[in-house]
Amino acid sequence: MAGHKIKLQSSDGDTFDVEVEIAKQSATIKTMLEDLGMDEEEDVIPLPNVNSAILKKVIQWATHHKDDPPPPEDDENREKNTNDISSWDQDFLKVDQGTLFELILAANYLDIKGLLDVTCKTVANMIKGKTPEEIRRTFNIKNDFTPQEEEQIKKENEWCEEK
Amino acid sequence: MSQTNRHVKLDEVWAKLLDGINHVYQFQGMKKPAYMLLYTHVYDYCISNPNQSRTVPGTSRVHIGGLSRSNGQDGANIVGGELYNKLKNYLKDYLKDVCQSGVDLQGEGVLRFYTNRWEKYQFSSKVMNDFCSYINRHWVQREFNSGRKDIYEIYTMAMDSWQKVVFQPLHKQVTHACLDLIKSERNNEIINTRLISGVIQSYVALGFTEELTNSSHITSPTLTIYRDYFELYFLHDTEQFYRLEAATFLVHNSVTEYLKKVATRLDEEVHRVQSYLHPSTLSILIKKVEEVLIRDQLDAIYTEAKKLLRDERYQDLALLFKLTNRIPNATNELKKIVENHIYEMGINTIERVSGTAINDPKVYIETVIDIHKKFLKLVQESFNGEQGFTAALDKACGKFINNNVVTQSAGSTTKSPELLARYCDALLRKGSKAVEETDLEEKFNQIMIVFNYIEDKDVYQKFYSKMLAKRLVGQLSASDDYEESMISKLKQACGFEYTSKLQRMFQDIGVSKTLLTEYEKYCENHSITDTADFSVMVLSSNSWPFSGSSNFVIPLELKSTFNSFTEFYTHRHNGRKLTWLHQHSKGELQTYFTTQKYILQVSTYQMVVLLLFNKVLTWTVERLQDETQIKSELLLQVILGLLKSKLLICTDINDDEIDEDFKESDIKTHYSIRLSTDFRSKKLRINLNVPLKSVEQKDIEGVHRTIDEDRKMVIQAAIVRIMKARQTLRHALLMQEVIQQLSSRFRPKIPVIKKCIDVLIEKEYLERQSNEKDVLRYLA
Amino acid sequence: MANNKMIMNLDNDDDNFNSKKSFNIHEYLKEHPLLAGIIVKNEILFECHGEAPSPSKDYGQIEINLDQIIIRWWKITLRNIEGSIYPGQIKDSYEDFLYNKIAHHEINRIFGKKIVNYCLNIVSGQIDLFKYLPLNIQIKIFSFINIDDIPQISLVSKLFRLISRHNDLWKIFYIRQHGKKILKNKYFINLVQIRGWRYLFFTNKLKLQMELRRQALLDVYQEKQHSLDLINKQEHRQQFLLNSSSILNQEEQQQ
Repeated sequence: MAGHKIKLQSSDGDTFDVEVEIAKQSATIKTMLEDLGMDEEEDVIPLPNVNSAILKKVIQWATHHKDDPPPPEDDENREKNTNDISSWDQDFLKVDQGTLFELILAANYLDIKGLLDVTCKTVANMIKGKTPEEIRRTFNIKNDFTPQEEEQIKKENEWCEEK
Repeated sequence: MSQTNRHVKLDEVWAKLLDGINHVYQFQGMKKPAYMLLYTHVYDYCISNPNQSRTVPGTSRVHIGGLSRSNGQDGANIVGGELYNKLKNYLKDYLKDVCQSGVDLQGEGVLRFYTNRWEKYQFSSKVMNDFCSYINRHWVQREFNSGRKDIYEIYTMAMDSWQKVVFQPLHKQVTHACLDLIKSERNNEIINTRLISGVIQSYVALGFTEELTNSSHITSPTLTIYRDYFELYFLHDTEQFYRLEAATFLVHNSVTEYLKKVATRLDEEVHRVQSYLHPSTLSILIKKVEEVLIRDQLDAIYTEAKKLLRDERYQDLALLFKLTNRIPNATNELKKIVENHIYEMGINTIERVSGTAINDPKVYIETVIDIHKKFLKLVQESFNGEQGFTAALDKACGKFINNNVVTQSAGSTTKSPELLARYCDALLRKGSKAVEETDLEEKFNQIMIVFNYIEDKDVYQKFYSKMLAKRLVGQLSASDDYEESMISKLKQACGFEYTSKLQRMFQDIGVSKTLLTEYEKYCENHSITDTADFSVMVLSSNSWPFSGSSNFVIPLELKSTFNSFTEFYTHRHNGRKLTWLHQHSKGELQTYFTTQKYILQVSTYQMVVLLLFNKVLTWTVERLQDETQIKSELLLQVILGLLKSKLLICTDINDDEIDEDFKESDIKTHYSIRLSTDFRSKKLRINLNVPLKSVEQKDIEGVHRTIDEDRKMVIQAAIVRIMKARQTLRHALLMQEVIQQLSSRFRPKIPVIKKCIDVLIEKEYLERQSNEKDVLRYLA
Repeated sequence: MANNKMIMNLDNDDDNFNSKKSFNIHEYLKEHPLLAGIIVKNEILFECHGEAPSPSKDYGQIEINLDQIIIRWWKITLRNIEGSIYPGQIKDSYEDFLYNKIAHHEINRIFGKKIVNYCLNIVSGQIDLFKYLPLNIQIKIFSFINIDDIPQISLVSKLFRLISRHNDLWKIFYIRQHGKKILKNKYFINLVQIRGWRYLFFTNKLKLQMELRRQALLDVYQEKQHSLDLINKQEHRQQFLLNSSSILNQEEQQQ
């Protein structure tokens, strides 16, 4: 099927020709093709939740990763390491928060495990090793604890660590 | 999609989905754009949370205690459950209609209906599952994690719905129709197996169970539905069918025909499972068929086995065995039947040849070998050479070889080893007819087969060594290589000890040869010239089965030879005692008194007598005895032999009196004997050395007599060996061990062992434990 | 991109407010359709209410939705002066609020400087997007964070605290730490249903053994009940089979 292409259409009406093998990194598209088969006359597949800019990025990512080994079926018990993001992915994800979160949601929507992992790791790296205040600043999060509540949680945490 | 209002309500999304779902379940094709939109509707619905209370800050106080007990029950906030239930209800209604349209169908009709609708439903459900997969990922997984067991992924839920709504009301008809079709196929009708395989596939797919261990699939397949609703009935049907078939078929057909049918039936059933049932059924189905068709007919099969053995229908037997072997332990009886058959055949065959066989080792042993060969072939061809049957062959052979008409009429169980040893002797002797070298090797192997069945291996050893001795001393062996090969085979079978004497005998011959050359050198060195042309074998007395012979006065002609060798030997081996075995010695004489010079091959005794005629031409018998000092009984035999050869003449008897009936006792001491000076013979070289009757007979009797004594010694030695190792041992255990240790030589009789123990107690090697009479103790 | 100032210094002086650019959230959502799917129309982006620090007893309320920012306040004095309680209200577009010093002042008076900055951040486009992510993604993100950091992180906000204590998160942590083997143990699974993964994560081995034994005992009791059911079921099936076989027999006889 190499070279065979399907057409993906973004929310704002742009159409992208994508190699089937690349598109299949999206489990959603993969199952759809398995269920419905491949016709000679290909319909344009609408992706109403993804705009051009994001879809372009997603395709860019998928094209770069098309020869990756398939992600392990279940890697819950594999040691999670946020430092294993390739430099290509790091560069690829040097985007504003809005785009990063949009990519997370796109990966979730299209069920692209590799992309979801790497975007979530990137967000995790924005949290790791920071003080609560720094985290709040990073994401503009409101501290909604009263000082008393905060004290109580701190105490509880100490107890937790002793345990 | 409107981007301003993406807050999707359940009714709205359902309205959008319903169209697609209807499409899918009415089996109208679906286009990819439609599919993707359905997926997006589901996604949008799940992702938009109308009650985002958790994200609205400041509206609720944090309940610290409450939060810490949180087990993720907050999954209830996740959207999806209502949609899930709507899908479930849709399927329920849809399937009720499906069921309704099939409920009145029977036979192939219901199968066509069921499989057709199932296949489509399965496909539709897969498609629906996939475009609703966000519910699976988003809501179902969370519900499951928080402990709900009645929530499945949508596809599984669809299977579950089919099971409850369609399968439950219809399964009786469907299963029954399948079984009817299978019955038709068993009756050689051609059926549409796809109908059954479709049903089976459905039953298998309907069995699943919840499993928490694998996070990506929360259910795993089981075969409960297939087993409980199909396999059970199928096996029951199978049993009924074959029970009937077995009964009716056997009325009109032989068991062998029946077995051929069974074999075909088994193949058919294997094929049946492979082509349209679940593979897990194979072993249980085959077991059932085997039970009905084979196990329950074993009596008839055993009877048939006896018949086939009698008729020597080995191929049919092979089939019979192959089928019987499928039933655990069923071949045990078959083994017994085979054993009995071989035994009877052995006994009967030997009985038929017993007249000649008792005195003809060749007939006897070759008969035994033929029987063994024949049944070995049976065991290999019909019973696949299986160990149990080889054992049956061995048991039967052991029984008939050691105890049959021949051994019974000989009055001892030792007849078989004796005949075997004599058979060997015949083969190993010079001039044994016709046997090619390759054949000989083959014969040796056959001998070893028979040998292994012989219980009294010690008896064989006795006879064998006796005959080996004769071959060696008389230089009658066909070849040293053959002798050695035979001995090494025996060694392999029975161990070093068993053949050590035989081997030493062999060595003695070699040592004698070197000794003889040394003696010749000795004669040269000491300028001894007055000796006869002379060769000697020095045999160690405990290896050779010879006893000393009656002595005589050594004639003058041999005196110096005799003396010089004795001197030579005693000088070399001081302290050794030389005993001359005259009965095994021989020599050559040349006649000078005849015009034609003859060479006479004679025994030493004959030589002693004949040499006397150098002095005087006529002797009385009495004088001959005086001169030679040979025991009169022996002397008379010698004289008789020489009279018969016409070399000597008795003046008191007419020539024609010396015929077959003439006995040595007819020769009186006062008869005078003279040399026949006009002796003539056609041959220049005349062999007068015929074995003396008395010697031969004594040998065989001696063997039998000594065996019992020897055995006692061997048993005693074994007891001492065992007791020395064990110090104390129960009587019964000692018996057991003795029997076990000696079984490779002979089978010791229990009373004999008891007697041996008593002897050893008397000799104070053992004592009975004072408090426990049953226990024996070794005395150092 | 609409918003390129990702991290802002909240300790900026008031003067720096002017450096903030106004932001059109409707445009923004158009450009981020997936985010738009979760930030819904009429969504209240931020809401808070509270009392000014003493001695003032004044009460205030802020609400930011997709269109505007609304500030309300009630002056409360202890002296019962006629007309002393007169509520005030400001409704501003994002752009107007950016330059409305009075609004800033009122918020600062009642809620403090941090809230002023927080509101300014929102109207200039720095929305707390994290809280809009689906819970399973929030958990996934947390699963990449070291367990040692989790207590600290739970101090960020109530949402962060909820996620850092979430059962699904601790299931991931537990399995990563101890492997999957224990999942085969049905007593353990029972215990998980009762105690939750987080509790078990912090339970030492000895105590876990004890708890498992207790589960096993409970199970023996339940098993008895269950096996009674099973026996009934089997008997039922036997009966059923007998019936069916007798039917078959009858059929044969008829044939």
